[in-house]
Amino acid sequence: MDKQRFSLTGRLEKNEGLFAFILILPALIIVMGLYVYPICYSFAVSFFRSDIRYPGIEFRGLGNYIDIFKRPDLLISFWRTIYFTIVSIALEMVAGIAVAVAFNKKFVGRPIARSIILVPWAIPPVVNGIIWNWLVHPKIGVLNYGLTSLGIIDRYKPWLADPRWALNIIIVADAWKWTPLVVLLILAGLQSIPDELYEAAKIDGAGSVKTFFRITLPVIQWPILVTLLLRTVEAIRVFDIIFIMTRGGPANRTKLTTYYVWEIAFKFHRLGFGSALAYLVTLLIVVFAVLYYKSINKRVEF
Amino acid sequence: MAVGEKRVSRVLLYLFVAVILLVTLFPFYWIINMSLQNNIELYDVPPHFYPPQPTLDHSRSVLFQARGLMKFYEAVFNTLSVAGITMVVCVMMGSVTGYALARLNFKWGIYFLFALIGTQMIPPLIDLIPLYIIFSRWLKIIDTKLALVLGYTGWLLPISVWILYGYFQTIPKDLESAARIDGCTRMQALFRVVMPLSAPGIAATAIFVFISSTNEFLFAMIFSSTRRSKTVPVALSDMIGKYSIRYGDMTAGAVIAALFPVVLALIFQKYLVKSLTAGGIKG
Repeated sequence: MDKQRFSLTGRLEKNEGLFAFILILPALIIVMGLYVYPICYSFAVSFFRSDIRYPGIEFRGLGNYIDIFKRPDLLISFWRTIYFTIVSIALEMVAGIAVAVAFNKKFVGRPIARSIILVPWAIPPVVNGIIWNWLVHPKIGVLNYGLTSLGIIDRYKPWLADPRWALNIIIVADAWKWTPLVVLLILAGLQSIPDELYEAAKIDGAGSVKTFFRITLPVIQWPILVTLLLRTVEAIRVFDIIFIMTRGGPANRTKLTTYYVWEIAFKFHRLGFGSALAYLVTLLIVVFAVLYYKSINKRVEF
Repeated sequence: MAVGEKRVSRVLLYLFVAVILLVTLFPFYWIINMSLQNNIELYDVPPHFYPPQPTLDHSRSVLFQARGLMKFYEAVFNTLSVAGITMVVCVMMGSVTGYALARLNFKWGIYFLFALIGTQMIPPLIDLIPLYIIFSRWLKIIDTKLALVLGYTGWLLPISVWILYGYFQTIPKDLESAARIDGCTRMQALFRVVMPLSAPGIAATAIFVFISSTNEFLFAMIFSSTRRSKTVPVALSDMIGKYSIRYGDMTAGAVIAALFPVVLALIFQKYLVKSLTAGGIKG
């Protein structure tokens, strides 16, 4: 009896909290060391001049943050990031919900179709960039070939060198890769709707449009909110595909904020200024999150 | 009337599905198609919709010819080892942590769970800048596989915990209680009863972590600079612009880089869907 009380296993048997603590300790250390500490560190750095060109560091207070608002190129990149986020997410949500509703119906080969939809998700973002580089290539791209054969454009266009098109092409490429994730998340929500509900609606004489807005949409509200949040966070921090496809060009048109952060912090080695900018990006994410949360809450009460 | 209407909507459904599948597969098909054409066919206008004389020359030369100071297959090896180790670490820590949070009563559990989700809202560069300083100035592990494993674990462990937390909640508590009544200690009940039952959830997490770390680019680009630790995405991005551009080789490299994750995703599709939708359904 006594022996058991003092041994570790004995104590674990008695004390559930201690057992839990031991189990989460490794993860706690990892999260503290690789997240909490670094984030505090970079928050501190954002108030200093931490620059490879100057030895030592110098306290600047809010100087780094103020400098951001003195640079018009950075402010424009904020607007472009918001444009990218809104347009690509609108595209992904509309396409994703449409595909999910179709894939929720019974048809021959549905399991295979549901597997195939995973392919773009599994492709590395770098490869995605390379693929789309070739598809829209000014000389040998199949997009140019297709559009000229159909007579939509009269000669081959250098899509990624055209300031009006570059960002939109990147949006399409990004949406191609991420829409499957939206499909899966929405589909999981749709599958939780019992068939009886649809049958009851049919008996009551509700058309398919009405059924969609009255039954389907309210039930998948939560999956939609989660998907919106997930995709917004990812879209605001888009980097890989821009790095591969345009490196921010033409004329900085595709230099979104995360790309600037990378350039400032790791190309020009201004770590303090880069951190300050990264914190403003986080603020942008928080703003989007609050907006979503508010809009969805209202509809629930309604 | 009604039957005819139904038939029309069936036809429309199949048509729509066909278009979706075409759009989904065409870009990937196109890069495979290009990687199998020789250097003359590649530049033909109009482009070939299938390789006239399929050749694996590009794949062979991209894998084994030195490019810069490294060979592509070394990057494949780096990627697989980094992804493999990250997977093992995340699954081990993630499962015990997920279990503790799902099953045991303790004060701060819920806050820890929220903190884990909160980490996912933070843009990677906020984490990356300080990690770079810590890794390069203090730990001196820049350009090692360890740096990548650490970076990826920090990023993927919270997601692993979240997926497994959801999974443990679906396992009935009775089995565990029965084992405890039969005289198992807490540890024994966890490792002999609960863990074997959670194999599907663990597989789902493992496959998700493996594919995510195989595909990651930003951390890898910043933390690695030589053949010691460069992963496939970094080696691929190096081919754009830096060395004499051989388009065929680049397309073959891209296909090789995509092959692993795509094949894995198709094989383990059932588990993967489970892990991807883990957070989406619960309220």
